[in-house]
Amino acid sequence: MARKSDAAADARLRLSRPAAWMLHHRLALRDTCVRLIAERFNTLLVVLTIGVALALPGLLYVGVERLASLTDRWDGTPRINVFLLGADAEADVREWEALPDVASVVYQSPEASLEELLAATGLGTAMGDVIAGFDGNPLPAVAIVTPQPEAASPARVRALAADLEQRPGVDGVQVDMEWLQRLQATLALLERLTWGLGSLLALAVVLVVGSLTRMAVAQRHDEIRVLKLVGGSDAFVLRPFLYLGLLLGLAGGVASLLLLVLALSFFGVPVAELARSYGSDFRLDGLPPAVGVFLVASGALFGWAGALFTARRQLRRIEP
Amino acid sequence: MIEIRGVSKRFPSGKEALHNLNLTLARGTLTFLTGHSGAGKSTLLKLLLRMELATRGTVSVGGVNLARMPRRAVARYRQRIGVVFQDHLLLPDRSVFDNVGMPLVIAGYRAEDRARRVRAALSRVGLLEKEGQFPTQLSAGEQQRVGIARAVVNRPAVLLADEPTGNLDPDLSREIMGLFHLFQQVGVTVLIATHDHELLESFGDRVVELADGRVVADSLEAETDGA
Ligand SMILES: Nc1ncnc2c1ncn2[C@@H]1O[C@H](COP(=O)(O)OP(=O)(O)O)[C@@H](O)[C@H]1O
Ligand SMILES: [Mg+2]
Repeated sequence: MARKSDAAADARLRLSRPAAWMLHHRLALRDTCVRLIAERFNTLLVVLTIGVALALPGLLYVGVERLASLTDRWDGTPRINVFLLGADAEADVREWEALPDVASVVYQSPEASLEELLAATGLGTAMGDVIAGFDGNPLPAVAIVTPQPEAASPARVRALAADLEQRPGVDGVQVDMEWLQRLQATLALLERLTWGLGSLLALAVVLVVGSLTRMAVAQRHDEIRVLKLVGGSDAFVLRPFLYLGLLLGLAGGVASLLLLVLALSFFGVPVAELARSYGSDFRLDGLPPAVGVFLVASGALFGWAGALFTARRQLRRIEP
Repeated sequence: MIEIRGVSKRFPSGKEALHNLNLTLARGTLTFLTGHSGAGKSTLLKLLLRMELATRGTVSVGGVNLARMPRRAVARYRQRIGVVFQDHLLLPDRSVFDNVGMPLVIAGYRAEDRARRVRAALSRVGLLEKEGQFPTQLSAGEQQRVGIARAVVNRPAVLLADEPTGNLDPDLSREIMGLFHLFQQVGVTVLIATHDHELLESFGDRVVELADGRVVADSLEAETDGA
């Protein structure tokens, strides 16, 4: 029969399933790009909105990470710096090792302190000149006292420091622990805040793309009916909207990347100067590549998810 | 090809649009479905397109019971059915070529085969030179012919039409009906709903008349009864 052989020829002409799938994806992508470009002003607004939403937690994250890496260089155990009056107090200091709360005592002569200072600032010769202007070494001898781990609570360390301060030959003590603990607690809080804010703004991205998709589907209601009538499956009519979400999210991720790089270099110079005034080499600028990849990928994912959650149900309900 | 057995359709509103309907359409035949407005013609076509499901009875097309068809199979089923509407339902922002080619994109044909078959369909309806235009640039008759080209481009086994000449003058209507006969001659099973009595009487095909959801006259049975 003529029609039968027609049908057989048909089957041979048709693309294989993966090839047809590729064709559908290619056309859906092209279709969506054309629409996004045709509405470039709206597209740009949405992309920038997503960009800002993603850049904010990104900026917080980078800042917190940088500060955290600074404090990570500290081992977290408290130390007491005891400044000594005489230059030859090493023998007295050794006795402190016998105290129950003390784990170790390291004596640092004025010369060693100076060397360490020069090395730490990296200002070897310049600083050397300044020091040369003094009458001898201006730095005191220091005993660095490390408490026993079980005596490392702030209260006991403070008590130990008070005890040491009253001993003969001691000029003063410095406990560099509390500010560190406070900073670490603050950082932990900021880190949570970053993730909390990040989750909220990710939800915002999903909702923004979702409501945009909802409008796009409503606008194309008649077209979707027709496509379903001529044999378009649920997946076929859904695909352009998934690309819509994906592309908006992806572009939003790239926008957030640019905003973040801009913000980091904007804040970078003053932050570095501020840090230097505290003797720190802390720097803010320069975006870690992993953060960039994460932002773009999460933008694409949230955009896609926003489109999927709204469009899938809405499209299933459009019956021809 | 099409078997309708004891079919009733009651809408959620309580309206019973079809009542215990029986109808058989053989392969390669052309049938007119007629009756007053509200008789149930569109509802019957919707059942055949599986836009609606029968409340009672069975509708089967090509041996497949539509009530048993899973949702994901419906799209593939519709790819084998051509459909033409009164308001042609063309996509306004796509060219004539893309409108006609849409079923082929969906069915997954490569670009060269699509182009060849779209042009073949357009030349059948006499609109080859309009392939680059947009639906709004065409006359009502041309739009309807584009709709028909789209309905037949994937060589469907069944062609359904709901008031395809409803917006057209008598001359154009005759022309459109002529096209449907062309497809019937190559083996397509054609069912055309129309309330235009004058038009269908001039063709001499089978006419099934509905009234209030029941078959009140069937020219085929009248013949066999008379014999
Ligand atoms: N979705 C629906 N819900 C409720 N009633 C409907 C629906 N569709 C059609 N009807 C009713 O069913 C009857 C048959 O309608 P229809 O099949 O469109 O008639 P025709 O196409 O012959 O004019 C009419 O009374 C109509 O009002
Ligand atoms: Mg009708």
